[in-house]
Amino acid sequence: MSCAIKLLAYCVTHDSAPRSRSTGVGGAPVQAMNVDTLWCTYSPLIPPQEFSREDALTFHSVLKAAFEQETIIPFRFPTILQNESELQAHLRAKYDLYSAELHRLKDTVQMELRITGKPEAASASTGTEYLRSKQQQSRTLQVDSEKARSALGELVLEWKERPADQGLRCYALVRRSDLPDFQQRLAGVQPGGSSTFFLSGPWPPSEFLHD
Amino acid sequence: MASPNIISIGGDGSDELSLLDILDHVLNAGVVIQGSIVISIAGVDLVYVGLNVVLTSVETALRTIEADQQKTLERGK
Repeated sequence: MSCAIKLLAYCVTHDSAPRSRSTGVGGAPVQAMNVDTLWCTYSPLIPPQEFSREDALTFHSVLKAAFEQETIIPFRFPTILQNESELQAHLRAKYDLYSAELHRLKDTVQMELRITGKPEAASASTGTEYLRSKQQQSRTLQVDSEKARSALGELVLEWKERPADQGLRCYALVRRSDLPDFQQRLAGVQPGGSSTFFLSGPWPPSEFLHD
Repeated sequence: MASPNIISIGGDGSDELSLLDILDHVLNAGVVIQGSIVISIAGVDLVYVGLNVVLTSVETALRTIEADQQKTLERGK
């Protein structure tokens, strides 16, 4: 990688630049540029050969500071652009999409529920047993997911599921103001025998962004 | 949380689970600009975070492939 200064993009917001940390990844200043009402937060920096785990965590804290104030569209870490012109061109190209998505997702957050089950299939002695066990595990996870979804009711604006290692990842789009109710209702749900719920969030609503 | 089977992860990096979740999100969630991603992240213990970061990276890759295939099919209609 060259030693030229490039831009590390953090996130896009609408109407104003979020009040964020003054320094970002690598101690570089956090700056903002706009194209009309769309703002992008970024840091000018010389990209290292490798980013570190601390860089990733600093990136997260910049996003977190912005996200605490308003809905953001985050960039994946590390998204590097050549210069301000390239970033501006990207914002212009995606202006309608980003504006519409920030409007649609205004005041919402993403909560993530990971449901993990006991990996009984690992102890299967035949192929048929293995498949039956996997099928049973999948059914149990689905029942747990439906139980959670049903208890959360109207608090969930959108719900998505993806299979994950030894479990299921469920993403809920929730109004920020409904977060206490969301957590309270989920606390009343008892997952099936060998399942565990891992709840994390609030996160920016990345899973609910349209292409 | 009331249930012993519900573990709440703060997302503030205060424990190992939330740290993994944060890394998982910053590396796997968010907008991707074609050609702008640098994969190499030093200091991320891939053995330890394997179940989260590595597999979700694979999931993300598969989702991208599926989405591309879907778009290609739709264009062909």
